[in-house]
Amino acid sequence: MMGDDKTIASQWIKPQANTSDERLVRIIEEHWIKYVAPGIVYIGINAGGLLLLALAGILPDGGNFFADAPLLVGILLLFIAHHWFFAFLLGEAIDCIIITNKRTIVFETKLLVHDDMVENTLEKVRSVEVYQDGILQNVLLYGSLRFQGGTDIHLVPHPHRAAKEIEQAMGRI
Amino acid sequence: MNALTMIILSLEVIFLLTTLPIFLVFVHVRKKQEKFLRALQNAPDIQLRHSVLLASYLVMTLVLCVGTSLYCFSKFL
Repeated sequence: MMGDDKTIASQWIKPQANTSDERLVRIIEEHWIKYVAPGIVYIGINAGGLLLLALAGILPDGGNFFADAPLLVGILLLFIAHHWFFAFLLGEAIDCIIITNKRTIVFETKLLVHDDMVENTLEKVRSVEVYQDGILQNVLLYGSLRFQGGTDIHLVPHPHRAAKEIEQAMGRI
Repeated sequence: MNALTMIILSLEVIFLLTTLPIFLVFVHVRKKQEKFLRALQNAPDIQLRHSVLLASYLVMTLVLCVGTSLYCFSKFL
């Protein structure tokens, strides 16, 4: 499995046994754009939950379940949004792209959902291509790295610089 | 103590307990990643940033739990 040019494993792969000369070139964090959409959703759900709590404070006690529904729904929204958002944040914080002089490794983690490691062995990779598609990617300076003979890496900040470093690690520059 | 208070208390307990699996899985995955990085030469220490995020999560959980409890008890008691 480790000899393949690309490896996707549900369990994390240990460093190769003969990695004594494997040297870290760089650790790249994925671009911050990945936090924007969930952040907006989190703020929206929290705003909704707080509005319901405020509404529950204004409404007189009805003495029945439906009169207290805004309070229950508001608390539920706040609780669910909190755990969902922090589970997302913690999972994404672990995600990174590791470039060594022998391979690139992408850690993809969603807590409680999946825990993957995608590897491209540099000696099997023929070339690295950079793609920055769309206005957003060009303005915010992120994009994808496409490996000829390997898997793609997305959400790479300053992808041209990263590609250059990978090619240097491959000994082609 | 009426039914609604009981429901809210149960929600608070479930909310606090949900923190546990998320915390444990995060620590487990982070340890595996650190072990992997340590095997490489000149690897940096990335522990601090993760610890800050984890501490924020735990503190925010407690604040939210205590805050909603106080709000509910001030309304019902």
